[in-house]
Order: sequence, then structure tokens, then C-alpha cells
Amino acid sequence: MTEAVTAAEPARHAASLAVWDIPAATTAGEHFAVKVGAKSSGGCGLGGCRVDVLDSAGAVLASGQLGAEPWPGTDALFWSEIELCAPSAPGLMPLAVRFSADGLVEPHDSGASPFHVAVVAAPDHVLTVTVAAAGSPVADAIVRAGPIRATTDETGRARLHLAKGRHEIAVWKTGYDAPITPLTVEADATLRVEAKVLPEHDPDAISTRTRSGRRELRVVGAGPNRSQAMTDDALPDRLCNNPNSPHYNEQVLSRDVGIRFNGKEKTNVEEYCISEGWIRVAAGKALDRYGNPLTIKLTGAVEPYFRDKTEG
Amino acid sequence: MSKPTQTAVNRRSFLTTGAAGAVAAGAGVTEVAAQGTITWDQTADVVIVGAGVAGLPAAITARDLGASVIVVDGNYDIGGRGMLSGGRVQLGGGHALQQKFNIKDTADQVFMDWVRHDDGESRYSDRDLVRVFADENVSTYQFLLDNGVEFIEKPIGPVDASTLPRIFVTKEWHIPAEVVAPHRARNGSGLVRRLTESARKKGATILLKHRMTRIIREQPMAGRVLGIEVKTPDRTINIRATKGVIVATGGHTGNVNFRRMFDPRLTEEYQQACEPYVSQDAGGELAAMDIGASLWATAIQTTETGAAITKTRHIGCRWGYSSLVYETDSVMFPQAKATGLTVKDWQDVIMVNQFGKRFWDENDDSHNFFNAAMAYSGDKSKLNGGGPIWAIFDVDGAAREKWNTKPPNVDPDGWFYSADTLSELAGKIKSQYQKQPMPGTALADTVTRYNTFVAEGVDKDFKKKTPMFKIEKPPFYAAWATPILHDALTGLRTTTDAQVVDTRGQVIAGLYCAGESQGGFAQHGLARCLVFGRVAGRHAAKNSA
Ligand SMILES: Cc1cc2nc3c(=O)[nH]c(=O)nc-3n(C[C@H](O)[C@H](O)[C@H](O)COP(=O)(O)OP(=O)(O)OC[C@H]3O[C@@H](n4cnc5c(N)ncnc54)[C@H](O)[C@@H]3O)c2cc1C
Repeated sequence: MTEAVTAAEPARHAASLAVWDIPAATTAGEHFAVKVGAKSSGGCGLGGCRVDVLDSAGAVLASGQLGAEPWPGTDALFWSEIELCAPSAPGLMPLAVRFSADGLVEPHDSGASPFHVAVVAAPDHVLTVTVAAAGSPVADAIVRAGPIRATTDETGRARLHLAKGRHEIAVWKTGYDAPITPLTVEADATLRVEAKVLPEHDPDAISTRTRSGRRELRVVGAGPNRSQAMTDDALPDRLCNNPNSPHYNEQVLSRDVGIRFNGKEKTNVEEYCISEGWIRVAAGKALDRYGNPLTIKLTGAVEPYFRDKTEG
Repeated sequence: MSKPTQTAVNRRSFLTTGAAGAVAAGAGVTEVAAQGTITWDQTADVVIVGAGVAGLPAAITARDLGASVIVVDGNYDIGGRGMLSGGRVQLGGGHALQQKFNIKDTADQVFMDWVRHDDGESRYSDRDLVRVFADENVSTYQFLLDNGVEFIEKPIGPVDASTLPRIFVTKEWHIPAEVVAPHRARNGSGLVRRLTESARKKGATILLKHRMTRIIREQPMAGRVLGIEVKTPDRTINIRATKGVIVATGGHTGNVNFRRMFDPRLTEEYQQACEPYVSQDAGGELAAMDIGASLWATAIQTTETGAAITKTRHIGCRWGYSSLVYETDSVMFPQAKATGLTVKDWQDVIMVNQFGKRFWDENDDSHNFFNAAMAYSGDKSKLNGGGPIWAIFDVDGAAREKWNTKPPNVDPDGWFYSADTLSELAGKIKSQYQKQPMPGTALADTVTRYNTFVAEGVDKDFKKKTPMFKIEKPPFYAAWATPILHDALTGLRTTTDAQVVDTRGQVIAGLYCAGESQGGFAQHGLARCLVFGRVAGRHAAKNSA
């Protein structure tokens, strides 16, 4: 019940904090509420105590008084709902909550607990995303553009209210895999995302060698039954053809990967990263002391693709 | 000789009758002085240590050839890990059931697959052993049928190094109370129970709660193997083997000291997939090494391809191996204490080390994940091993997974904790493997940072694909999620007849090994154990000692 103490100090209790029901995304300038709870390490009732929400400079934005009843499901987490206003600039707003022990018989130590609120620009358009797998709509999938999210209905459709500009649309549902689609929103639009049903995994099958256990994607040999094995056309965000690199991927590199860089075909790429927008190309025939080619980093738009796919 | 006999012989007289074969009399006599007199309590032609997946076919095969057989097993029941297995038997070569599904397989194809250079699971194997394995596939499948084993007629695969479907699953034993982990498709129970039935019917003696503690050789490092020393619940006895002793004890991964020979990271916090029913305690390997035996193909243990180490799938309990759950009516439940919370989606939790820090993408189940989990955690008092790994989640995560976070689903005695805030949660974690308290602020900071990744949809630390859910709503939970060990992939060196070879490359006469205690072939699980069990039983029975 009590914190560890050193002989010189009197026993002091501590209050620890939780902040929840933070909206996934808040529109700039709008009001929203969060719940704040405090727990005493000494088991003290904290009902009536004050909690403050601070901005990144430490100024108090709002305060609340903890209620008399603990949050359902907890032992003694006394809580309050606090209303806040989102700033006008989009971004991740850093905030903190602080507990005040004023008025408690037992003194309580408490630091400020940080949390963040995602503030997004006011929406201009509606993007209707339809998620399907093997020809059927996928319901209850979460569709998101950064912090903005919506859930698909029975027809596999979800509506995202988005500001103009570039977004990355991700789809998630347990048991499915779906690509991330980058797009620029300029008007109301629709997007169809084809998800893959992940094969059910037998818990007795040994599958520690590839990511997410999809062993059948492994490409090996020219055995009669293996030629069809590669069915996955997703290229990783980052890929390197040095086997010692963590970004080396034998499975992907077993196929011919082509790179378009700023729209031009490049044949001497040693490594690329799409999200960070760069490639490394071999600098002539020079090798470093480990026998690896010396490389130069170039920045720009990177578009990798499977050659066998475009040709076939 | 067909039945084991109760005899008590003086070792000197035994040696001087010439039963010891080619050993020079002088050496034997000196050795008698060194080891004293051995009283043999029982005798059989072939003595098998371990009534598991390798030991049972060894027993049946030796009996089929007319040898008398005693099987000792330290456990209270038969089957070893085979009892808990999924019963997925990977035998090919074109056996009857493969033919039924028009799978055109041959012994050569089995060989070619399992010596492939482009697959880490086959690359390092001893090809002489693989050749024998390949040639014995069809006969082993037939042997299983002949001894009552039933298969579900559905081919699975190709998996692992195989290029053809070769997995067929045995039927689960029909009496749930005798399945050890009932209701969980432990189909291997049917395999080992059927083989036990057959072995007993054919006259093999199976002695349970008989643990082999020593292999007795003429001289400590020379001469024939004569028998074994066995601890029973009330005494120590010696069992003489006139033709051979077969070590089928099931591997070493439960022995911390032993497993660290191959990988020093595998310190005590890593639990073992078959506990608490059986432990792979390296007893067979150690007893054989004490009389000079060699290990073989030790690289296989660390190729990072097989299942030497696996991700915990049932969290919040001590033993959460992928396919193994002891339900409340399992005879093991009183020891296992909890069924665990089965993770359907790693988006619902984050994983942290003993200092409350995330270390890798939770979705990853490759060896990259294990390497990160076993990385130096910053614990200055323990440099090896990565320390405990905890899955951290909130009440919303539990709701998404439909978990009931109360016993018997979780074990609050060292393996599961809940609290109203994250820093309180960190302070509550107490485990025999957690050497210092988890710093509360570190855990809270980790979660705060992760929550920003969720908001942005990008994991800047470990590239978890679009982190989906914040961990923010009380109460909060910490569940044991430390990787769990599984296969022994190396063991004793043998000839192609399964005779154990010593560190100088010489056969140890009268000593055999099969199953996970045998080194040289990296294939996971049952098939290689069954095949080499038969090979060992056959050679030992024919051994003209
Ligand atoms: C949960 C689980 C699922 C699995 N699923 C599959 C699967 O679907 N397919 C597959 O191919 N493989 C599977 N396996 C692996 C497979 O069960 C093992 O590879 C196989 O059982 C090993 O056979 P073995 O004879 O070497 O050891 P075991 O079957 O473990 O038998 C060893 C026996 O020796 C006894 N013993 C040990 N030391 C001594 C001693 N000193 N004295 C006396 N007796 C001793 C033990 O008590 C035990 O009974 C699974 C394993 C587990 C744990």
C-alpha cells in the first residue's frame, strides 16, 4: 500500500493519473472533453480534489473536481470530465494533467502526466472508402487517414471527412491485410480498397521465419509446386540488397524489383525508402572495406515495382 | 529371450562370463575395481529410456524382432511431448495416404527437400541421417497403421522444407480424461496412446515413474554400455540391457545450463512449451555425455529458422505456447494455474521489457522479434537474456479481444497484474524473473509515446504497421508474454543406425539415441522421432552383444 521510503523521509503517498476518452481526432477550434482520473498509492479517497489540464508551457487550460465515486472497474480511481478547446492549428497538441493534493490530510506527491490530442483541419470533402475482400464487402473494418477514422458498414463502406491535401488511407481488421493507399483529396471522392483474407494459422504449424507467419509466401527453388508460391505483390517501404541490412528481404528480392526515381528508371539502386523519399545508388565500381559498393544517397519520389508483373 | 527377467548379477561375474563382448578382460577387471559391484535388478535385451514419440516405436520394433523390452519413463504417464502435440506427422515418400490424394512423392524427393541449401531448416542437417529418414518414410507410415494409429484423411502442406503435401494429422485419443490437455485438438494423444497399447500388447514392459539417472558403461569412457541406473519413487535400481540402451528422452530445452551451450541468451526466464507435463531436461544427453558421447550438428539449434523459440500466444499465464492450453478440467491445471488470454491481434497490446520499454514491432513473429526480446535490456546485474516481456493493454483492448481478465484465465501469482493507472501497474509487477521493479514513469512514458504513434498512424520506433489503438482507458493490465522455448534441434551424435558416437568419432557399443535428443536432422517434431525410434529399436534388437 505504501511507497518505498528511505529512513530520513516521512512516508509520503503519491497520486498517479490516467487520461482517457480522448477523441481520436478533434477539429481545430472545436470543443472536446477528456476524462481524468487520479489514484492514491495510500488508498486515500480523492473525491473533491482538483485536477488541472496544462498546455505545453505549463499554463492551466482547464480544471475539474474529482467525483466521489471511482471509475467503474477500478479500485479507487477518482475521476472527472474536463472540457477543452482545440487550438486553431492542426497537429498533435501536447497537454498534461496535474493533480493537486490541497485539502488532503495526507500529502501526495504527483508529477504531471502528459497526453496528446490530435487536432485536424476542418474537413472540406468526403472520401467514401469501400473495403472488399475476395469480392465480398468487409464490414467493421477501421478506415483511417492519420487520426481520422471511420468504421465500415455492412456494405463495406466508410466515410472519412477530410481536408484538402495528401492523405494515407489505411484499413485494418483482424484477420485481413490491406495496402496503405496514398492519395490527394481535392473533391469528394471514392476509393476501393481490396483487402486480403489472411489464411487461418494452425497453432501447431511452425512459422517463425517470416513476418506475420505467412509461410506460403516464401519463394524457394524451382520445385514443381513452388512456382506459384509468390502471391504477395506488396513492396516494403524500405528495401536494401545488402544481406546484412535489417531492410534486406530475400523474399522480395528473389523477384526482380525495378525502381522509378523522380519518374526515371534507375538500375543501380542499392537501397530505397519510399516514406523518407530517397534511394542509394552505387557509386561506380568502388567497394568499401567490407566489400560492399560505395553508395550515394539521392532524395526524391521513389516508386518501386515488380518487373515480372509489368512484363507479364 | 522374450520377456524381461528379474536378475541380480555380480558385475565381475557378468564380465567374466564373456557377455561383455569384445572388451579386453584386463580392462574390464580394473574397471570393476573402480566402479565396484553392480547389482542388476532387472534385465531385458533392449532397455529404452523414454516412453515418448521415439521410445514407443523403438519398443514395438524391438519386440517385433523378438527382443525383450523394458521402457522406463520418469513421468507418471506415457507420451512425453507427443501427448501434447498436434499430431501433425510429416512423413512422405509416396505412402498409401499420399497416393490416395494423388500426391506423387518419392523417397528421393523427401531426401532432396530435406537437404535443400536454400532453406535454413534443411541446410545444416547431416545428409546421411536424412537419407535414412527419407528411405524409412513409407515403412514408418505403414508401421503406424499396423500398430493402430489412425489418421485424418486430409493432406496439409507443403510446409517447412517440403515441396509436397506430407502432413497428415493423427486422430485424437477418444477419452478426454486421458488426453492431458483435452478439448484443444491435442491429436498427438492418439498417436502415443495407440502406440502404447500396441507396445504393451506385444509384450513390452513400460515402467512409469522410473527416471534414468545414469548410463552404466564397462569403463567410464570405454567398453560397452551395460545398462542404466534408475530412480523409482522409493529406491534406486539398475536395469541391465544385454543388447542395447536407447536414449529417447526428448531433448534439452528445459535445461538452462545445457541450452546455453548453444545460445547464452537463453537464461532462466524463458519457459518451456511442454511444461508442466514433461520437461526436456537434457537428462539423456547428459548421461550419454558423461560416458563420452558427442553432440552433433549443433548449428541447427541457432539457425533462426525453426521453432527453438516461439511467441507466447496465451498471455498472463506461465506457459502460453501457441497450441497448448490446459483447460480447467486438465490434470495439469492445478500446476498450470491459468488458461491464459489468447491474443487474436497484436494491435490490442504493446509489449515492453522489464524496464517498461517497447523493444520491437508487436506484430512481428520472426526471429527479429525474438532477437529484440532477448537483447541486452540494460539490467546491470544480469547481462545475458532479455528479461521478462510483458504485454500491456487497457480495458478497451481487453474488450476488443473479448478477454475476461479474471482467474482461471489469468494467474495473478506472478504472471498477471491489473491497476487503475499505468504507474501503479508498473509498481505491482512482481515476478521471480523481474529482478527490479518496473519504473512507473518509464511505462507511462512508453505508452504516451505509443499513443502518439496511434494518433499519427506511424510507429516511429519499430514500424508496427499502422498502430491502431491507444492504451488509455483504466483499468490497465500487464500479462506475461515472454517468448517460450519449444524444439530441441540438436543432440547426440549417432550413426545412421542411431548408434551413439563419442567425441573421438567412435561408436559407443550398446548405446542408441532417437528423437529430439538425437542431433543431426533439423526437421521439427514427430516424423524424425518416429523414424529413428524404429531404426534404433531395429538395430538394437539385432545387436549380437
Ligand atoms: C504443444 C506441442 C505441440 C506439438 N505439435 C507437434 C505437431 O503437431 N507435429 C509435430 O511433428 N511435432 C509436434 N510437437 C513436437 C513433438 O511432440 C516432439 O518433437 C516429439 O514428441 C519428441 O519426441 P521424443 O520421443 O524425442 O520426446 P518425447 O515425446 O517428449 O518423449 C520423451 C519421454 O522421455 C521421458 N524422459 C525424459 N528424461 C527421462 C529420464 N531421465 N528417464 C526416464 N524418462 C525420461 C519423458 O518423460 C518423456 O515421456 C509438439 C510439441 C509440443 C510441446
